[in-house]
Amino acid sequence: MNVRVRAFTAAVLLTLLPSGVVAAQPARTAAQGSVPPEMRYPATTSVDLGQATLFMQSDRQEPLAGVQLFVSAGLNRETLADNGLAALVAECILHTPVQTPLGSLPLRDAVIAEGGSISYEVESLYTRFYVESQPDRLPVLLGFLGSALAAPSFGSPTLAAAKADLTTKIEAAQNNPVTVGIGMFKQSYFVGGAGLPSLGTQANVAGFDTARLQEFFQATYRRGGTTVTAVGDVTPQVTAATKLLVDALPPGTVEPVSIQVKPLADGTHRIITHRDIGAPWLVLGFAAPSPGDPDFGPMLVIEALLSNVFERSSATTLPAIERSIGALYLYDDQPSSMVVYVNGSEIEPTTALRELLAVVDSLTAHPLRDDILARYKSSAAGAFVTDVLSLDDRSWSIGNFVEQGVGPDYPNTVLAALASTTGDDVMRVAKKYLGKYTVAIVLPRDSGER
Amino acid sequence: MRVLALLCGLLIAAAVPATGAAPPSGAVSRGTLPGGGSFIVRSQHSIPVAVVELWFRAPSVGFARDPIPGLSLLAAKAVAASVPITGTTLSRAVTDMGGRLTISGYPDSIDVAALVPANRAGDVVRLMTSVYFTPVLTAAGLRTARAEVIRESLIRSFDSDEVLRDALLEELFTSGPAHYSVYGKPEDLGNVSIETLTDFATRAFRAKNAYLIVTGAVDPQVVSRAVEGRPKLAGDKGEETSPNTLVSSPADVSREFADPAFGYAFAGPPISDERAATAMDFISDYLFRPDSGVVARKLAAAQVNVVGQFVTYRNPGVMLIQLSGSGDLGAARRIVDAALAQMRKPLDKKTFEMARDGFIYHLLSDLQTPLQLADNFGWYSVEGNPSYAPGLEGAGGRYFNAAKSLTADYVASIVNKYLTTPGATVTLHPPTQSKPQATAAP
Repeated sequence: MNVRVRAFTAAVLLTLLPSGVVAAQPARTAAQGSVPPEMRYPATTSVDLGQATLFMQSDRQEPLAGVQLFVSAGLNRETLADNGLAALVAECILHTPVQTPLGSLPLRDAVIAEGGSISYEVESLYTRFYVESQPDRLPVLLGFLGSALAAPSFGSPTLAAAKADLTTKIEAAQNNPVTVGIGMFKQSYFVGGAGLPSLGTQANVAGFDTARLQEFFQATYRRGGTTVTAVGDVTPQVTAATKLLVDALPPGTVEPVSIQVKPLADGTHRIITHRDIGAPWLVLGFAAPSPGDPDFGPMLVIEALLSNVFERSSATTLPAIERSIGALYLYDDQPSSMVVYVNGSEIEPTTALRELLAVVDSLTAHPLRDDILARYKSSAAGAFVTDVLSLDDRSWSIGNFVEQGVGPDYPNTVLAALASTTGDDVMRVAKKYLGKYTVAIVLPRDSGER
Repeated sequence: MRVLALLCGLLIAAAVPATGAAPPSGAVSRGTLPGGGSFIVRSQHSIPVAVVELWFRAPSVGFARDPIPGLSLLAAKAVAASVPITGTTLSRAVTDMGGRLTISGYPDSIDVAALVPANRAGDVVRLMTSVYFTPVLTAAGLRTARAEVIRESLIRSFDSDEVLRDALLEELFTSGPAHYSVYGKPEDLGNVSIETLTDFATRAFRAKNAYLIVTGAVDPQVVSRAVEGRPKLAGDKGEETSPNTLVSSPADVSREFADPAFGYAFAGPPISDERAATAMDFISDYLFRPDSGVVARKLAAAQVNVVGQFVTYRNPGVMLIQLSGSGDLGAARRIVDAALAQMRKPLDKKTFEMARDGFIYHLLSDLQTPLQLADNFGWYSVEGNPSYAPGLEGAGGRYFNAAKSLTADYVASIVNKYLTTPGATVTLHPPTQSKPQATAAP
């Protein structure tokens, strides 16, 4: 195993290091280009909903439409003691009875019965609800959600059903070593709730009562400053329904919460946990520029490089879980971060860590060779656009960039920034962000801590 | 070796415009490739991505020669992993674009799919058709592909749902591609020579045998980047695949496996019987769709996974119903049996209409990305009925018209015709368990 790692890493280093001639070239000659027209996202239209704004990309050829509502009920509103509140409040909303032509049904069942779907996610800055259906039905479904938001049920039996469903979801998230490692890093990196597990802990969830949920809802579900996004076939009726949806929220605004992070050390901070997995995993967490930062484009190039440079030859593109080393740029958080994971079932972790750090050293010491830079710029742009495909993801992406303050059309800015990224940019950003990190170690449950 | 040299000499990547007329942007364009296969292009400009897929009607056991299960998938992967004269493997080229290349095997077909940024769609059409229409296999490519297929085969061998699925098809069909595992056995694949593989690839991955599907932010002219491939030989009528032969009397078998599981396989209508096939899709959606299916919801808290799917094969289609997990599979089986019995009578009007509306939404929701659309177009093409592919005309077209035409009486008649007696019943039970867990209701 060690020999194989050394052999391919040596080859990697050779390709990363510049030749003398290339290194002597002016910085801005490196693989620059413009964004081709077919690589541009359609422009977003905004509609004033009173105290909120709707951002939409409508395409009348799509047979479906999806609407996403972002409320300021993110993890940043939680503490360690009440981690899981945001998720349980959202889960209760999905279980809140609403009136339908079939009688009173829990919101989720009502939406399904009327030919649609509804889901929620809790992120560091917000909780989001996503509703999707054929456009002619969507106003009715958004009306159901509005009813639940206007009068959410936090008493039993709603609370019991919500707790049962949430507990099942928490259990399912526990055995993915990358998710666990990322969670460990984020929890150590963020000050306050933003880095906590998005669904909370089973112990906390079991203990929450009706009063606590009502308190959290009253504090965080407000119509002022709310973001709504819509994609697909967004008809005028759907647009009108989003206004009614926002009006269903209690009036007022939620005071912003500043998210702080702790300074990272130079790799000496290690966190260890055990899970029912077959091999150890390492997750290295780095600080990273947030969307809107001029360093965002170069960091995407670094992510692409670290995701692919170690990979063995394969007949197909390996899924993340099968890669020996991979990188994930967590830019939906603000401040953002990047994790690089090592899969101990594919590669000996200590050796992989050593070789990974050798690549990082190379990145910080020299600008990338032009052909290597062009390759990873192309890879970064491709990965950026192919990452968001479904209506749910598209409406999330627009809203996420709005919530982060960079605007709904930021993806076009990103592609332009990638096109103009130079080797010097990559080296500068690598120097700025890759020197300090935290190591999260996820070990098989029966292994010793070494 | 002689074959390889011949193939190298034939690698003529001439760009010949496709013969189909280019429809306006946003519409569906269909036609014939210069080398004899067919293409479908569907534009969707809401995101800057494209999907390029090549489907081949290439059975998992070869073309009626000595069956080598897994041969088709191994060959497709070996082509993708071999370095062609362009100098970069297909998999590396797609990955370097920031895209994703996947290769999926089915009993009688292969799907090579690339999700890429839109500005690279033409490059991928050219590269993919070059690589497959004139396949060049290398020893290194074979090694990589073999390791990958064997790895997948081993992973699947620990998954009760996969093992059960293979067992159900093996019992339902006495011969033909569906009788055999798509992945084969590691010991068999380890012995396949490069000559055998090259012979298969040359026969299977011909332009004439191909369906090129392109979806996403693309112009219909993108298909003009496809290469013609090898010249057609005189008298070449194409390759015929063996038919799947149904078992003559219902099979009910029990096999040992680490985890318990239970399943039914019913022979259903052929893909040409569009209304009946759509009704089978409706039934699987109504009963088994995760989160909303009647049976799925009854089993949600039972520690039992249920999968129910109608697979629209050429002839016959197959309804698979599978139960697995740590819960009471006997009780779960009784719930399935009761639900199927209930479906033999027409649902009441209101319930049926709501279920049909939900079914149509679920279909549309499952067809919203370029990748989902391409997968569907490819599947229905390779199974012989591309015009019936859902999504070809948005929420219209033959599939959705068939869905909208369903009635409660008709659905009940289809249940009575196809879902009363399973062609195969398989129980997987742990070795120490002497009696199968899933017993039928008395």
